[in-house]
Order: sequence, then C-alpha cells, then structure tokens
Amino acid sequence: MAAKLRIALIEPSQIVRTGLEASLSSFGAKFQVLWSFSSISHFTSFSDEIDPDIIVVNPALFDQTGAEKVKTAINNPRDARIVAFAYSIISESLKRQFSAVLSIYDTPSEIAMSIERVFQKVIDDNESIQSGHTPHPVEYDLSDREKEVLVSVAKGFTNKEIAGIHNISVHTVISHRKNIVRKTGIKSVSGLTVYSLLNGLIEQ
Amino acid sequence: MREFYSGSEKMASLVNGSYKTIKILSRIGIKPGFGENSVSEVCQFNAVSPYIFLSICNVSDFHDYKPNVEGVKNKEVSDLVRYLRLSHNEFINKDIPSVEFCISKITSSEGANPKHSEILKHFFEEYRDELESHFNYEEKTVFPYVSGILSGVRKEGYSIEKFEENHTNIEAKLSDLKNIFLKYLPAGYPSDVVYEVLAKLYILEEEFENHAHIEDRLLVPLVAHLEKTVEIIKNGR
Repeated sequence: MAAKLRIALIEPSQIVRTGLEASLSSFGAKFQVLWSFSSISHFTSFSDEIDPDIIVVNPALFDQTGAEKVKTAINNPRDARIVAFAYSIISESLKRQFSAVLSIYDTPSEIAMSIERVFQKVIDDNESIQSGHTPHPVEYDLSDREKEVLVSVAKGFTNKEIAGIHNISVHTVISHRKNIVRKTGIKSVSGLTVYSLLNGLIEQ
Repeated sequence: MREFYSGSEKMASLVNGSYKTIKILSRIGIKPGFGENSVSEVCQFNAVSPYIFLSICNVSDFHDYKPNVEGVKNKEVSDLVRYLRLSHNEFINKDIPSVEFCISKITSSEGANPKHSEILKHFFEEYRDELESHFNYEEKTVFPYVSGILSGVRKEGYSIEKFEENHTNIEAKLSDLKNIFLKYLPAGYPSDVVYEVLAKLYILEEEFENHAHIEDRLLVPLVAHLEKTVEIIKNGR
C-alpha cells in the first residue's frame, strides 16, 4: 500500500501529542499525522474539512459510563476508524466502542502495529465493499479464461484452432485477445510469450 | 493551434519550442551557434536545404502537415535520403547497443533469475534482428531505387507505393518490451538500470514513430511525385 495512512490526533496534553506525532512519524512511509487537536470541540470545528483514515483520541475525553456514544460525540462524516490512546484503565463499555485501544505504556512500534492492523481492516472492508456493490469493477488482472487463451496464443495456435481447443467461437477468442492486449499493453505474439513465461503460465 | 514552422522564424526559437529538433539538427549537419538568425539563414550557412529541414521538422511535430511536392529538387531528395540513412546508422550503432548494454547489465545482475534473463535476452535479440533486417531492406532496396529515380532510371517492377504498403511497424515490439519492463519484470533486478532502460525505450519508441512518419509522409510523396516525371521522360523517348 503506497498511500500513507492519514491520522488525526485528539489529545489535551501538548507534550503527549508531540510525543505521539514524533513516534508515528518515525515510521516514515506509513503514517502521516496531519491534524492535531486539543479537544473534541476543537476537532469538531474542523471535521468537515479533514478526511483522516484514523482518529486517535484520548478516551478520558468521553463519558466513562459509555452512555454517550463515542460515534455521536465525534463528528465523523467519513467514517474514519477511531482508536483510543489511554493513560489509565477505561471501562469495558467504552473500550468496545473503539477499533483498538492503545496504552501510554505501549512502545512506539506496538502503537504502529496496532494502527496498522486497524488500517488493514479498513482496506479489507473497502475491498469487500467494492467487489460486493460495484457492478463493473475495473479489472486489470487476466481472468482464468483469458489466461487459457493467452497460453494458446503463446504456443502459436491460430484463432480458429484456439476456438476449437476451448470450445468457444472465433469471435469470443478475438474478444479475449483484445482484452489481453488492453490489460497487458503487449501486442506482439512474442511479447505475450515473454509475459506467459515470466508469469509461469507456460514452461520453456 | 500553432502554424507550421517557416523559414523566417528564428532557429533558436524553433528549438526552444521543440527541443526534439536537436536530433534533426545534429543528423542533418547544422552546427550550433544560431545567434538571431532565421531558420533559412542558418540552413544556408550550413549548406542544408531549408525546404528539407523544415519538412522534416513539420512532419515530426504536426500530424496534419502535408509537404508541398511541386518543384522539389533532386538534391533535396538526396539530402532526405542521407538524413534517413544517418538515422538508421544512429539507431543501429548507437541507440540499440546502448539499450542492449542496459539489458545485459539487467540480465547478468545478481539476484536475476537465469531462466527469466534468458527469456528477456532472447526477446530483445529477436527484436534487434528484425530491426536490422527492416533497415537493411530500406538500405539495399528502397534507397537505391530512389537514387535511380533521381538519376532518371526507374527500376522495373518496383514503385515507392510498394514500399509504403509493406512498410512494417518497428515500434510495436519495442513498446511490448517497455511494458514488460514496466509492469511484469520479476523482483530482484537492479531498479536503477531498469529505469535507465525504460527511459531509453520511451525515447526510442518515439524516435522510431517519427522516423516512420518521415518515410511515409515525406519520402513517399516526394518520390511518388518524381516517379511521374521519370515516366514522362521515358514515354517521350
């Protein structure tokens, strides 16, 4: 995953905020602490303008009984994952409302790993949403059928022969071949053979 | 849209607007140090036909450019053939070997899978051979035919139209090679050399495309025009 994970912090202590920012930034390519706030109301006043992937917040800012829901307290229009960063023990009912709970005694790498796990879940969820709801997902990997046709092309069979081998019409073979060229960007038969060899679709 | 290049504009501003002209200048034999001189003046100082220089630049940069074939001089067509031969020479003796050097660095690198390297090397060598035979055909058949036309002799059973019909595409496989390196190269190859060769392949692909345009859209119409005059002389005898 090339994109950096964008993080918003809500933490009243300036020194803890600075410490969290520095620790997370030390993981270089993965995290970007783009926004820091000292209170929930401070965060809420900006929440329409920012789009964090993850919000890290001090749970002491919420009602410990869990009567007021974290999700309603934090205006979170883009449904960022909310992670708690706790100094002390927090109630079970509050704990359950966060995607993860970090402790002030965690090492920076433990914190990074917990955030990454939450992030991984965000990606997985997005992918399942895509495959579940998008009617025509943009697909660049070759389908199994296209791979079969490609192997026959690489072996030097003609369109007519390929149609016979796979029991499909010549028209379908041509349409598979068009898709193969479009997806791979490779037009010549010898170029497609190189592709098949490099990807282990055929043996030398 | 910009107008076509003309002889009255300054050579320096033509190059500033389209730096790829540098390759054309170098092959056609125009020396640098243009000062404020116009394209026509610079061409004349260097004993190069402004007509041919401008036609090459215009065909290269404007897809809707059509050269004016009326009144073309034999000397100008032979200058164009010289230009095309110098281009071939540069492709075969400079550009392709430099790509080949990169590819052998890649395929002999530590961490390269010998089986994959063999496949890549073979693909490139096959392409290089095709390219050589493509240029060879032009050197051995097409250009001598054009020289014949220029000296008033038309070889029987051949015409420039035939060349145009059979003019094969030389950049398609180069583009395949580029995409293989860009998208499908297995891990373990040295990325600096891979990027180096990619940059060369992009430039070369464009050069080949341009070269084919100059042959199809400049050489072919010029020679087709001259073919008519040669026939007239023959029939008149």
